[in-house]
Amino acid sequence: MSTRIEVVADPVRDRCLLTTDHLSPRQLPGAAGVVRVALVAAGALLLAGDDVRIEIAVSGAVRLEIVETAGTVAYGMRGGSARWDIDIRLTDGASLQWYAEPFVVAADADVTRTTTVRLAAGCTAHLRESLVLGRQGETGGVLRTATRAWLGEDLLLAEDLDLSPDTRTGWAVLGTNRCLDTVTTLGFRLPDDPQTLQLEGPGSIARRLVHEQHQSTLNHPASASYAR
Amino acid sequence: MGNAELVAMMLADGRLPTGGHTQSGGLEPAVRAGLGADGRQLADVAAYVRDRLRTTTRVEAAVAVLTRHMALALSGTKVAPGDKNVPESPEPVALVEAAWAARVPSHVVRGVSRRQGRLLLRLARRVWPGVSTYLPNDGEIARPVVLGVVGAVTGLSAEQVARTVAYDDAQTVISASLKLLPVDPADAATWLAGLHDDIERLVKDVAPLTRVDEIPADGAPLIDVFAHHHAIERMRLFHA
Repeated sequence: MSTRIEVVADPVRDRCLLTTDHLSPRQLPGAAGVVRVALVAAGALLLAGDDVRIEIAVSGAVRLEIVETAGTVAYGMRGGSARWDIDIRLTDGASLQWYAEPFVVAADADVTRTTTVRLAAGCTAHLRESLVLGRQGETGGVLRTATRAWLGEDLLLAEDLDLSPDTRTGWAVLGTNRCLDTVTTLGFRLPDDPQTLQLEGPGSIARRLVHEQHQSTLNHPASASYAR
Repeated sequence: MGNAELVAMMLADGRLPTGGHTQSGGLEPAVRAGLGADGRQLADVAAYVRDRLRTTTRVEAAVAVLTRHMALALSGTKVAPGDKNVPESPEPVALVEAAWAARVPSHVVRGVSRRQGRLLLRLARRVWPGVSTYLPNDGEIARPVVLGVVGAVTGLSAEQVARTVAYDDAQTVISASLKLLPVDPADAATWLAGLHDDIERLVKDVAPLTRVDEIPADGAPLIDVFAHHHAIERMRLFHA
């Protein structure tokens, strides 16, 4: 099963088909041309054995904005593990904005998280992923992420991160930081900034490695602080 | 042509005029951020190399291996022109560079590699003219791609190509540490020897790869952050 948000642009009224699984998508009021959907946990998340799959498909000249009402905590899994897979497909000029709330990996959790994005030419995605390793005062568990994004036939971004306690703490991956806060744009670039990574193709990554999640300056999309 | 092992030694030799002395493999900005501060925990240098071998250097080595593979496959297609079983791929080397570029999100880090690649290319086209079959005479091309082509035209094995990339990266960081930190040269050489198992593990992992989509994509966000700090640093000893 999958949690699914499917939006198709329509001249009369944009069609929005929502499927509940581990998460429940709920439509919110939105301006013309914008479909806003809240993602709400439908039960306790994220526990050993959970296999959360979120599919987003947007087609046509419409913008989907996904809002999360709360962060997610992956709890201790006592030897078990969980998955969190996101699959995004945008076609025919669609755009997506998804500023996810913090994803917290508690001590003894073991999570694999993948994000796969396929954009047709002319589509754009604006995604935030805020990973926190451990709640206050604890050492977070294991998190492995895999991100792949295609624009048409071209691979735009491929990045795997091994955020296990043994590998993340050196001088290459996270250092002593607990939070990896990332805003990724695909199909368009963020303004140049000394800290912003510009991808080879049209896309950017703005990233903050911080100790406390609220220290990140990427927090508020409205303030556009990431575009300074 | 020549002896592959000697070619590998030339490529790994810091005295080869390809500007290796201008590189610290990201060590300089890491030292500025506190690595080995006050002369304590100097062995963090070796741990940093180990982290690179697991992440960015692993990707680079795989890119070099795939470039070598594609160049050899391309030279094979020339033997049998018109063979319909050979996949139509006009620029297999460019294909590998595109795969590399998607795996290196930072334009700063890509720029450093391409500048290094250009230096190696300028030398290689004189020393091993065969590289011109696959690469332009001049241009900013990712260093592992140039190295993979050199490997293909000089008869290096996939293992030798991967080992050269891995060793070169380790030695770049460790020899830079002698200029950035109060390191005893004998300690530095001991660290390097201690990394042999890590290098061989990398070689074993990436040498068998034959498909572009098998190239690993291990990232290292802190290395990117440091590279971006370093790019706008006014007082620096190393280019990167």
